[in-house]
Amino acid sequence: MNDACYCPSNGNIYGTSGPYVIQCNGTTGRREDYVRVGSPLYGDMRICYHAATDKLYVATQWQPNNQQSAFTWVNDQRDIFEVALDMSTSTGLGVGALDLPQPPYSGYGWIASNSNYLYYRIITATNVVCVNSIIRRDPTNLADTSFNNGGNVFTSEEWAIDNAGNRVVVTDSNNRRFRVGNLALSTDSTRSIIPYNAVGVGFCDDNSKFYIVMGDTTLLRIDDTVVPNLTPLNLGPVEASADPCRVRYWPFPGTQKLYLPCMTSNTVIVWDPVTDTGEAKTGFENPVDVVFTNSKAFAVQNSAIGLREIT
Amino acid sequence: MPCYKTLTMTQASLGELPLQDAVYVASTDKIYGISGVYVIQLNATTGSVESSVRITSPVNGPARLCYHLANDTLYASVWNAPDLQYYSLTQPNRDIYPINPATMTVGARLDVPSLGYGEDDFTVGYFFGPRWLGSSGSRLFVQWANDNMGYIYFWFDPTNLASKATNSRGSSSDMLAEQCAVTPTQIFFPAPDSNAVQFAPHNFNVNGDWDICTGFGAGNPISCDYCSFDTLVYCVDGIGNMYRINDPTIDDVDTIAIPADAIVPVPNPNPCRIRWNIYDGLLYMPCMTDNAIVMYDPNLVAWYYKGGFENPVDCVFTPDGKKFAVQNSPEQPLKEITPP
Repeated sequence: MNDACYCPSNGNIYGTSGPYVIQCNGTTGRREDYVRVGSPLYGDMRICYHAATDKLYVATQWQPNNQQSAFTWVNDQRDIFEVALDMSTSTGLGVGALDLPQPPYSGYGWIASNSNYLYYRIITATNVVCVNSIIRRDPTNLADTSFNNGGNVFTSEEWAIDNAGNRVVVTDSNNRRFRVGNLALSTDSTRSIIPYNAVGVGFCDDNSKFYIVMGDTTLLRIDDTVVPNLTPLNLGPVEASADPCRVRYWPFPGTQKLYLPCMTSNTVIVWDPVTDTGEAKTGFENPVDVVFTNSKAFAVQNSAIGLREIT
Repeated sequence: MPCYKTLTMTQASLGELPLQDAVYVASTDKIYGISGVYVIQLNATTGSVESSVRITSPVNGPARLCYHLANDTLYASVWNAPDLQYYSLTQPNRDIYPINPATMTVGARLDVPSLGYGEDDFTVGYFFGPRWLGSSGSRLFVQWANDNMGYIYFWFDPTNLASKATNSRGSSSDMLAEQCAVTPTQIFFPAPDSNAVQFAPHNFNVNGDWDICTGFGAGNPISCDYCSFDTLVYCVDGIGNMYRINDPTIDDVDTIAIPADAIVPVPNPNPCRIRWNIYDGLLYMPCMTDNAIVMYDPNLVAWYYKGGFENPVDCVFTPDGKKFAVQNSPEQPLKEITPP
C-alpha cells in the first residue's frame, strides 16, 4: 500500500494499492476486503477519511508519462471518488472536469480532510514543469471552492495543519521552500528554506511546530513559519540511511512522538520532540507511511504485507 | 556488488503486490514478475509465488522486466518520475539492474545515466528513466523517458557497456510506447502521439535509420508485438482496436475493431498490451476494465474470449502450454487462462 487512513467510526484502516482501496482490520492490520475504484487507471492513489460525511475519499491520477497513458483522457478517472465504509463505490465527484478542464494534466497528488472540507493537490503537467494547486471543496457542495494556485513547481508529498486550524503548510520541494496559508486558502506566502529540499510535512501538537522531511537524514523543525526560523535535526545517528518522505505525529496520550518511515533501511524512526532523540524500529519492508488508530501504530508498507504494527 | 536478501513469500501474503510485468525464463522454468520495486519469482506450472527480491530503494514508478538469453540474466528497469511520490529524493535509481534468475540476487546497477547520450544528459533530475526493455541477440533495447514527455531509444550490449558509445540518439518526440516489438531484423516502437509506429533495424544508430508507419485511423497505437505465424506486427490502441501492419514502408495497416462476444461481456475492450503466444498461435489482449482476455487467431481469423480476471494488464506463456493473465490487483498475481 502507498497510503492509508484510520476510520474512527468503524475502527478500520483503509489503504490504497494500485487502483484498489484495501480495508484492513484496525487491530490486527490484516486485509479484510478490497474494491476497485476506477479502471483503467495508472498512478498512485491517495486516500482520506472525511468525518463530516463518514466516508472515504480517494484521489486518483494519471501520470502523463506513465504506462497506458496513451488512452483517451477520461476525466472521471482523474477524479476524487467517494467510497462508503461498506466498500461500495460510486462515480467520481466530477471535480476532474471542474479543476482540470483539459489535458495535459495528471490528477491529484494528495487529499486530506478538515472540518467540512476536502483539501487536495492537483497536478497539471506541462513538459518539465508540473504546476500544482491546492483546492478546497465541500464534497456535498462542490460549488463552494477555494483555490490556491501554487503557480509554480509545487511538488509535495503531504500537507499539515496546526492544531489551532490557523496555518496550512505545504512543501515545495523543487523550489526548496514551503508555503503557508490559512484554511480558507485565502492567504498564501512562500518561505525559502534553501538548501533544504522539503518533501513531507507534519505538525506536532506538543510543541506546536511543523516538521519537514526531505528524504535524507535531516529532520527540519520549523520554529517560526514567518521568518522562518529553522532547526535541522540529524537523524543519521539513529539511522544512517534514513530517507523518510513522510512524517506523522501520533497524539495518543503517552505516545506523543513523530514517526518517520524509512524505505531503504526498512525502519521506522520514532522521534521524541521533547528530547530530540530517536529510535529506529526495525523489521519492516519498504515502509512509506505510518497510520495510527487510537491505540496502535502501523507502518504502511509498499510491499507484500500492507500494514505492520509498530510495537 | 550489492545484493538483497531473497524473501520467501506465500501466495496469500503477496496479495497486496499487484503485478505489472512478467516474463518466462526457460533456464529455470520459472516466471518472473514485477511488483512495485520487487522482482517476484513464480511457479511456471501453478502461478504461485515462490520468492521475491527488492531491486533497489527508494524508487517510485513502474518497473519493467525482460529476460536476456545471451547471458541468462533478467534486467529490470526502474525510474523516478517528477511529481510522483518521493520525487525530491536523490535520483540514483533510474537505471537498469541485472538479476540472476537462479539465485534471485540483484547485481550492481549498470549505471546507464553516467554514460550519457550526446545532447541528452541523463544525469539531470528531469530525466525520468527507462520505461521499456527488450532483448534480441546480444542487444538490450531501451526506451528512456525524458523531460518533455518524449523518449529516447537506444541499444547496447549489457556485457559491454562501451557498445553504447557507438549509438547516437535513436529518436524521440512525444512517443509513449507501452510495449515494443522485436522482429528477427527490426524493432518497432509505437509512437501514439504521432499516430504512428516507428521502426528501424536492430543496429539502428542514427535518426536516419528510422522509418515511420502511419495509417492507424482514429486510434493511437500504444503496444505492439511480432507474430511469427504471418511475420507481421500487430498493435493495440487501448480503445478497442487491433491493428495489423501489412507493410510498414507503404503505411499498409488494417484496423480491426475488437468485436463483442455473446458470452463474455467486453463492452470496454481496452488492452494496453498485445502478446503473441508462439506455443498456441494466438494473440492475447488483456482488458483491464472488462476483466477479460481477448484472443485472436491470425490463422483462422477467429476471436476467443475469457472472463473472470481481476485487472489483467499482461499475459505470459510457458512452453508446456500454460497461459497466465498478469493481474495488477490484490487478487492472485498470475491467473491461468484456461481454454474458452
